[in-house]
Amino acid sequence: MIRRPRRVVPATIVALVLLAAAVLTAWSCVQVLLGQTPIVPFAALATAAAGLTWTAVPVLVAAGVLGVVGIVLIVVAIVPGRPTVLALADRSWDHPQAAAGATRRSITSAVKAAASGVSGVDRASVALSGRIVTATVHTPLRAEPELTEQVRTAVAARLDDIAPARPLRVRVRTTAARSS
Amino acid sequence: MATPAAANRPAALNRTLLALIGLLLLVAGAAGLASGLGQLRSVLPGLDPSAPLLPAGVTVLPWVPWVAIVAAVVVGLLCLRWLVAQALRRPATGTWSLRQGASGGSTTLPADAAGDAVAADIEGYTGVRKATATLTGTREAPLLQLEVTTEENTPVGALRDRITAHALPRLCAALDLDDMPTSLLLRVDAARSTAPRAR
Repeated sequence: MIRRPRRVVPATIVALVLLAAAVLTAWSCVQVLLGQTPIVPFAALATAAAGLTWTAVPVLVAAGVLGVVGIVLIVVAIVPGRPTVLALADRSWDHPQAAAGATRRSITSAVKAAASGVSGVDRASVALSGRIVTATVHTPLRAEPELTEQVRTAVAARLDDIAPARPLRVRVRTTAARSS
Repeated sequence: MATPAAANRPAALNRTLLALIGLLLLVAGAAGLASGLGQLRSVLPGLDPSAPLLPAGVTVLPWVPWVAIVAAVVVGLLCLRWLVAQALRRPATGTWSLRQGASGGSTTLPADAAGDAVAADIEGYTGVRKATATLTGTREAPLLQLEVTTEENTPVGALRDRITAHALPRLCAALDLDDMPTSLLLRVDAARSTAPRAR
């Protein structure tokens, strides 16, 4: 079960722009029917359009902009984006139709808790990029290789339990208050 | 297996509409450019790039504003519907009717109620902060969508096993189903960390 971004922001922008255009058009047409001057100056627009040919630079630029916006929207729709939910491996005796996933943030906060729980670590931060989990831990003591190894073991154990369908690699960085 | 589109509303809707509108704009822009640069003359000899966009002194027929208003209102309402869809993340649920075998009687069950019962079961497990369960689909092709928020240190494997071994069989028994296709979305809550930290 992988989930990808929902494109809520571009969808909202496009919907709002279209809605605004629709409201302006309807309102202006009502004004025309009532014999008032419409907010969208149809007469001036018609005069301007009558003075422009298809080869005029403003027309070509407008067409180009329209085309580019179209390409941008298509790209936004097609590019899958970074998964927000990663699939988890099937449990051995799961019933066959169960699909599980964990949010990207869940995985980093669980790993962070595991790294912070190691004795000798006073803070930890975790980044997940691609298939690599990087845990950066800070120790008030000296940076000993044993500590790095303990953190790696704790993080690997936590990831084993969460069990992403595509295994993640663990990288540990240790920073120390005192240089060794 | 869950259909990812139904489980991640409104991703599919947004992708489809964005692609359609993008395609429309791309075609319009490309047509404008091609006609301005004289590329369309071989296809449409009648199209003169040096002609004005609109003939001068064009008069609007009396029905045009009415048609424009109707079209604008339709487009506007569809846009509103699209905006509302951004807030509707929850999968659609309905009411199931449970046939009672040979007696011919039938019971209707709001799918929400069955979902709430499973969620309550799972919320009772240790290490679980919050659970929501949404029963979607039909009785013939059901899909249970679970969203479970756990504490940072909750063992995930054991929790999944417990859901499979306890909560799901109870739901299946209640609904008189052999199997319940399920999708489980796991969230680990770091907001209120109670994890003991060793120094």
